Amino acid sequence: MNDRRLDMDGGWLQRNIPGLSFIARGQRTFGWLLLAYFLMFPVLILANLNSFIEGMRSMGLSVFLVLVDFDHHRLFLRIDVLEHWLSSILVIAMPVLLWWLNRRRLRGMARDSDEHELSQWALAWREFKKNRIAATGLVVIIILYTIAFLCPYFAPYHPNAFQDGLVTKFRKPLSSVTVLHLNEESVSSRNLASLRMQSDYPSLVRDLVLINRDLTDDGFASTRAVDAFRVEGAEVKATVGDDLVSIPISSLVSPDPEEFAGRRIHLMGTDSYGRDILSRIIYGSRISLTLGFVAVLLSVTFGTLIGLLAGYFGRFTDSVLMRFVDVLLAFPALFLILIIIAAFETIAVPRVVLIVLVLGLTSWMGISRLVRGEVLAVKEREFVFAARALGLGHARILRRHILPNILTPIIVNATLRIGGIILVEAALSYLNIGVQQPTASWGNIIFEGKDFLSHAWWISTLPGFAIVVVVVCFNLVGDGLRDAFDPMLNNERV
Amino acid sequence: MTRYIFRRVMSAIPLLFGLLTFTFFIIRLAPGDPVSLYVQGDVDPAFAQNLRNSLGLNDPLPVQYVKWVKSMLLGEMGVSFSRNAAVTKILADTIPNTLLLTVFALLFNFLIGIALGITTALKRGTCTDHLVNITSLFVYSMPEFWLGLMLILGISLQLDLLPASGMHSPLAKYLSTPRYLWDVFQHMILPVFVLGVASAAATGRYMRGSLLEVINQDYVRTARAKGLSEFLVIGKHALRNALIPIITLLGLSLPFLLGGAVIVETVFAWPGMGKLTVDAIFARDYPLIIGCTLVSGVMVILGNLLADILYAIVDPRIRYE
Repeated sequence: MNDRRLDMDGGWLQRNIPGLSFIARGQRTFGWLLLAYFLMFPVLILANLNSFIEGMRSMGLSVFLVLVDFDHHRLFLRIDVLEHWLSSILVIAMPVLLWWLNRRRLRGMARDSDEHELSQWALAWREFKKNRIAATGLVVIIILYTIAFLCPYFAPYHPNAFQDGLVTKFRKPLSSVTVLHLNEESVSSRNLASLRMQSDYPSLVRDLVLINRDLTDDGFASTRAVDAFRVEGAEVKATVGDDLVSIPISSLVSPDPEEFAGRRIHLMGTDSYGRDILSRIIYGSRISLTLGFVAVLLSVTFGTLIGLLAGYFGRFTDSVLMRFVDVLLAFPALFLILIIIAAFETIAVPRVVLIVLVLGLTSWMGISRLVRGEVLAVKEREFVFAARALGLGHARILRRHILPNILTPIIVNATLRIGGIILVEAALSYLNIGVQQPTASWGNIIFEGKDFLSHAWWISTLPGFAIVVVVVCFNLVGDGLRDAFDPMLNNERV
Repeated sequence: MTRYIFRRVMSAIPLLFGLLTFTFFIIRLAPGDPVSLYVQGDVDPAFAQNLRNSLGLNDPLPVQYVKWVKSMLLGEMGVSFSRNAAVTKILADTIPNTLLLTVFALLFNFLIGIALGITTALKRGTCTDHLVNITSLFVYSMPEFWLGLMLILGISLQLDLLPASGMHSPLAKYLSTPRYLWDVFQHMILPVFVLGVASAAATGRYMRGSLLEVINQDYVRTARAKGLSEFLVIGKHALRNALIPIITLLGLSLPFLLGGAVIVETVFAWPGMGKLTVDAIFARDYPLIIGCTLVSGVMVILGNLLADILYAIVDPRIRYE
């Protein structure tokens, strides 16, 4: 018994590094993927060490200042800085979570290592893993969500940062821009009006403002983009578009051209303002991915509720609810969404929230029909009669006896829906009623680029590929789940 | 059958009425009104009030509703706020354009979809099957507007093969009839393709599954055993049953087509219902919004009815009393 425990425990390395225990037990692909995922986080921190430390400093300073004196410092609680903190916390929290889950799992296995019966979920998971294509889709989705939550660590620049648009706009993919690095004094004189904020801690406030600027601007403010330049005595003569500007060398970080000049690479080019497309796509993934997920959650919850009520209580409730569903279904969903958004766009709710609500509340009809059908079948089964004979309340029967039995079609349907919702969200942005500029979303990057299609094809083209990849993956996972939950169907397909 | 159709049409009327009532309240419950959109800047407030009075917007909501119901019963759709023309006339001008687009998209959808489904089902497991399946997956995962933009970019701007937008060339009305039709046809190709291709991919997938299910059944084996040619076995015996679930799709695909038309018509600047609806919604043009809703509701309900009738034709076991 003792030997076996040791064997399951697998030594210090396996206990503390997620993935190794899987590799040791022969689940190589899964193990290596998990290991790579776990190791990605420290690598990310090291690669963005500067940004990570700055983020932590910003968080520490802000929390201190806000706690000491909320009224004077509340301006520091800006949403874009908050998002950066969240990413910095997650980049530490995720590997810790993985480590803890791994420990817990191994301990659990050591405790009851006897073969026990697999639950329905474990069986489905085993089926699902066998399906290579669906599993690949799931891996891609996990990677994309990770990127979305940690976008400051993946995006090369800030999505809204632009400077010297004349030079930087419409850069082709894989091109680069020459930049001159300015020193701190000349930057501060340029745009630090907020330094005059009243505070008892002027030096801390100054530090924080500078840090936050770097976090949200990624150093664009401290650079000057030029087409070409040459050094002439104490000045740098630079061409910017058709103009010739002279910049005193004293305002640059160093007199040496090797040090003050640099290149900024734009892998996917820039848009009409000179913003980096790759960064905008990465930041835009947050909108598309979270919005799709939350909207589907909302519509599934609502649809399930309506379907449960209609199916379970039947008669009058059923007729009323289902006629209402019929009315809504006779409407092209997009019309409904347009009418509601156009009607309520003046209300002081952030646009993203409005869109989530509208998308969630206009797409539940299909689910409620599905759920109603399932409930009608399940409620005639013996265990429901038994539950009713025991005198259980309706709420309990619905929650504990009916819902668990109709959960799988709901889950499959929800997964397949996420892709559709992402497409609708993008379409709304294309009609210019989606998420508004300057916040990047995949749809509005495409919308913005459509006017420049003839000479800057990359603006509209590249975000579209991102959408296609995500939707394809969700569809693959949905199909995979359906097959995994339904072994009958699976056998038939072979 | 006639009685069945009559009953269905009758039962559609309350449904339509519910739909319109719902729309009526949603657009009026929203903050702001159309007049504040049309009268802006330093205009005498009394003028705006007059305008509101004349449009009947000052009445309490229930009164407005009763008036509206009355005029609907008389068959009056009112005058559009933003276009200053009778709603019926505006609709009569735009409905044919959208029908042109949706009917061809529907044809494209089902012809191509069914053909793809049959091909992949018969060649199950081969390279063709996998290739078509992967392509369809990508096609229906694509945003329609993006596909449209990419086609404009590639086919219209780069290759200059087809016109990028609109329904006619600028001077089309001076062309002779066949040339005029040819001109419209050229403008139609891209929008119809974009509108139909995603649903064709979906139809193909359903068709494949449905045919595969049928092919393994005993009566198909019997047909083969009788010595019928493969063409007859598939074409006459298997296909008829495999088509039944596809016909339900026909009814279901209409709301999608109309929704898709909104996007496609915007991308290709096609003067149809989708674009009209979007414009009406943003102009707070209440009578026109109601008119557009009515048209789309009628189209959806007719589509469902059509699907049910086709059902009975394809499958004689289904009888409507």
